[in-house]
Amino acid sequence: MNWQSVLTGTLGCCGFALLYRIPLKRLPLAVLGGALGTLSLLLFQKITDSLFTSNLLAAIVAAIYCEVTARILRTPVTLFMLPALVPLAPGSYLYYATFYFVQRDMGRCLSYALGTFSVASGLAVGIVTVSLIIRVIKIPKLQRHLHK
Amino acid sequence: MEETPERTNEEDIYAVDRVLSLALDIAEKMLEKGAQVQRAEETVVRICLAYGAKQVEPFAINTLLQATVCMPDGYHTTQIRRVYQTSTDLGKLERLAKLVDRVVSERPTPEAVQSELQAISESKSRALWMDFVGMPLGAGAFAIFFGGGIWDGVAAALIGAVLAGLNLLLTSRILNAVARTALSALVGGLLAIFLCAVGLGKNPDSVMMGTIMLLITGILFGNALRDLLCGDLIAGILKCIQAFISAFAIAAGYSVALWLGGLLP
Repeated sequence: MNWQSVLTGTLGCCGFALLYRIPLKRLPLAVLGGALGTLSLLLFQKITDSLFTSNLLAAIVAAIYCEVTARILRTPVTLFMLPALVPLAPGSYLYYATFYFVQRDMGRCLSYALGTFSVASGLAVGIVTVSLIIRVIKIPKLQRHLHK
Repeated sequence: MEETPERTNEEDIYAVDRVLSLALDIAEKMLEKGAQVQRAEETVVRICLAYGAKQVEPFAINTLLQATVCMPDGYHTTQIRRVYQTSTDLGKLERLAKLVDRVVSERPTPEAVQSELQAISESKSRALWMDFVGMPLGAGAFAIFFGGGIWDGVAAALIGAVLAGLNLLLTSRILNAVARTALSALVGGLLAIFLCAVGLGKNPDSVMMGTIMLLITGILFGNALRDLLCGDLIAGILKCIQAFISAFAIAAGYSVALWLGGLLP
């Protein structure tokens, strides 16, 4: 386990939480979510080589933390979700894909584009799965109205 | 063909229209500050139902918001808002969510809610120091996270501070978002090359990756796929395109920087 990566990933989440103007009293819990996301991503990357699977599992762990914390504190889930998912977001892949496209290196461009898609879809599937499960557990009246 | 029934009491009409207007104002602010499309639609429905609507039909994408409200007597009304996205503000998002909960449970007069909404949107959210701490911290930490050394992190943090200043100077009124991103990438790339040439950073690649994390919208791409999976297809597609365009702007800006710095043939 590389503790330097966990530490810097967590600090990065803290920076982004400030950038997203998080209320200061929510900052510690949001940074904790970021630490959890980073830690589980690095752990799952050790276990599996698949970009999709490691990101999916890490996103599930982080999303469960965010949904539960938000429920307890009665805040919007986004408040914890955005900072926590920064290390899981496919920022570097998306950049390299477009960078190699601009450099006309189509082989690398394609492999990074696929990487972007794997990472982002793992992330999205993880979040949506968790939020769907939570919605099913407590079916609000509102949902019934929306999908009538 | 159904005809809209005439409403005899003029105050009633104003009340319904005012409530719809209020619900859309709140949902618009939420979209501006970074809420999901689905959440904005739910907000409109909850508020209008709380004030006695029979049926509410909202539709939102990240740039537009509209809803039709139908009252029990058959009177219906529609309003549209154009949403101009500003920067994500989780503090205001939380206050808006609290306001919505209160509106739904206590049903205050629209005037009272309006003034509270005004207070939220005009309040300062400690913008300045948060940018100047957050951007260097994010850039520096992620430069090390992506395989750089301590000094690469310091260099990236310095560039982050410069980009925070640039952000402050170039408001959206002067340049649009894409041009601003490209210019930030150009400045960030030139500074990364310069700081590595001077000897502060050892590894230009990781210094650049740290600063790119500030500009790139990886989260946006993840959110786009999330919208698609939730069934908000149009919003999801729009966000995908938005993410790709901003990625291209960054790649273009950095390529020009690399070319000027002589690192490209």
